[in-house]
Amino acid sequence: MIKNLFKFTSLSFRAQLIYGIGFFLTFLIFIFIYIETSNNNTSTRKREMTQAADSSLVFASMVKTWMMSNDYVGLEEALDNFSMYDDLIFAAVISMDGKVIAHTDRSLLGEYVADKERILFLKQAHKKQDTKVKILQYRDYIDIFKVIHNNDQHIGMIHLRFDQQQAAHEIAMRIYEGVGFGLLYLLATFVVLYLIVNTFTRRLSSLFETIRQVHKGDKEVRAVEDGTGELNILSHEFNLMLDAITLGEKVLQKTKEQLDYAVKGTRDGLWDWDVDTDTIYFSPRFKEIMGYEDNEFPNSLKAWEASIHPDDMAKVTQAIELSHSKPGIFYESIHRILKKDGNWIWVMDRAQTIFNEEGKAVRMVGFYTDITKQKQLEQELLEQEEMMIAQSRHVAMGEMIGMIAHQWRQPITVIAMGANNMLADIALEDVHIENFKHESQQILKQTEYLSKTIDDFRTFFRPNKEKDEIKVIDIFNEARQIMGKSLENHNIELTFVDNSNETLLTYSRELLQVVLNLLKNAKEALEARNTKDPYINVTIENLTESIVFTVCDNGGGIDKAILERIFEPYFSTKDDKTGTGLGLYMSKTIIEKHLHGTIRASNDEKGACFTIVLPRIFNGESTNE
Amino acid sequence: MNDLQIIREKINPLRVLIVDDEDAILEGMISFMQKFCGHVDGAKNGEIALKMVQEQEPYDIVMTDVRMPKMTGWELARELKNRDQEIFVAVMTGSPEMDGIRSEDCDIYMAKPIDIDKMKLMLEALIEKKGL
Repeated sequence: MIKNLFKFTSLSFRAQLIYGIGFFLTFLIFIFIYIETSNNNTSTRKREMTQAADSSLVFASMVKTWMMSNDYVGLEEALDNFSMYDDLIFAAVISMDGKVIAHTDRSLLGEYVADKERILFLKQAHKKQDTKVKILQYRDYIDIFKVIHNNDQHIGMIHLRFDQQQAAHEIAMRIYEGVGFGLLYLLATFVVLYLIVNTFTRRLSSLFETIRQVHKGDKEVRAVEDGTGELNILSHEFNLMLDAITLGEKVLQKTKEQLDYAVKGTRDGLWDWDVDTDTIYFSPRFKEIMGYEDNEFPNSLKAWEASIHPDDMAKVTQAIELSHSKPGIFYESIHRILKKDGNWIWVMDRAQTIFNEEGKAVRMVGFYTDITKQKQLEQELLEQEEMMIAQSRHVAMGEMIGMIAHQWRQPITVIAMGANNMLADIALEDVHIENFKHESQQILKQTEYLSKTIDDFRTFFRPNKEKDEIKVIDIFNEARQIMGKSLENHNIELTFVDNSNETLLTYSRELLQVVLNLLKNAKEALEARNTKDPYINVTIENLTESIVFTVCDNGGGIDKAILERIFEPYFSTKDDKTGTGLGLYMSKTIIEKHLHGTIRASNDEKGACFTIVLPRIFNGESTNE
Repeated sequence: MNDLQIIREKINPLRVLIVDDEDAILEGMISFMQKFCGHVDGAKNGEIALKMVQEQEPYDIVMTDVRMPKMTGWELARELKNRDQEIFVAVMTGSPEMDGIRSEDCDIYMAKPIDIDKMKLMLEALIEKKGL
């Protein structure tokens, strides 16, 4: 039963309406029919009984008359007359002692009654308890008992039996009619209901059909809109909703396509890590970068971790943890990963971390970019640079030998002079111990100086692997030791203004190379332009985190047209013999890449100025190792 | 008496001026020449030397370095020769560049470093020129 009820609710709306209303109406009409029929039946039976009772009274008075006159023939006639009643089965007159004294069936005359009802009625009649009519109604007949009395004297009783079948038949016919009418009504109700509900639900069905088609994937279909009413509004709203969904899907599709193209275009490999469940997805391209087919590399964190170079692992972990610490920090790492073929490749790994409402990192989405080629190029460039540095060192060495030749001429002359003096004294036989001592001391002093310049030369060409703490002014003093003489030879005045008392932690030999190069360039410019009263002015100043120094000359400055190009490699204004075009390029390389500073060229009213800014302390490693 | 002792005898009364911007060399040259001549002066550059030549008793010998500030040795030699052909001028040079140098610009030139043999040659040339 409950099962059927559930079945009912699962029926279509239309069926629910038809069955619901139909059965309800049918129920009502059957109740109505039932009430109508039972009312009719009751009145029929009542009528029958009244008729029977009335007949018994008439019969009783007739019987009394005949009995009083002891005319049994007349009694028989009266019975015969009475038996003309249609429904009468029999009529009997019974004496008080129970003997049948008259009967429509003559064969029963003289019999004594034996049935319970009649004996009971006779007993009651003897006691004079009930003189009225007693009616006993059965299915097929009605028994009527009536006492016959003369004054207070009971003289007998009559027993009439009427057939009830006619009435029963009438009642049955009426019930059949009711049921038939009910069924007809049922049929009519359902037909009419079906028509009404069908009209009502036709639009709804069309809407359902549209929804079904949309569900099946047809995004272009739309519900019919005609007329007015709630269903039309529903259809209209449904269509608007479909339009919005279709538009949204199109935008989404386009965005997805853009992303796909972008990802394919960059040749990057995508990864998507759900931090909460610790599951990870790698795109086919991601695996391709590592040399794997899509099905060869598992989507697992362990596999990913295993592919990272052990030396880079700590760096990667640190970068990930940092990006998880708070929103707004992007993860970026450049590290090596193991390819399927066993080779290590360089990748740039970049990702964004997604946080939940509690500020916990829940997801990371990122890209692998294969940068092995760039790394190789970088390495080649580095090697090329190293080569140029070596080349520039050889040039600087040649220049230095020239400077040393100037530097040494004087002491050598002095030494020779001392020897000459002593030889002359001997030849002149004019030997004085004091003179000899003086000359020897002079010679020793000069050899000391020579030995020092040799040391300078050696330290200059010994590459320094460790940074040392020096003052910039000391570097310039060293430079003066090396090339002071050649400046003096050209009457070039070299002045230092040192406003800095700070030391610098840097690669001092490389800085010396730059300083010598700048002084040499200034000297050559002054010489070439034949400047009157030539000078080179060096100023050293403190800045908060750095030290800045300028080397200025009064040689007229650098032609504006080439000012931008002087730091380019192999760019030279000098002829092939004097200029290699590497000097300033190397100075810039050393200052920027090795010493992490800056170098800039400009002109002032007198000549060229080179400004160098160096950080007081830097942690960078020199690549010149 | 050996050669140098003879030379000393001959040139002893001559007046000598030595020009060099390097103190150590100037000093060395002065002390060398003092072994031979009674009067030896020194000048730091060409201008001073010219002034000394003009203002004081004429010098018999001027020995000069080439590379000096303000005035080169060759300029000085030429100037001296223009004024007085009789003056003996010796030029000491450290560089082999001789462009534009005429033989009449000086009496002798010597390549550095100067040793005792080169000095001897110079002094012999001096004696010859002076007819001592």
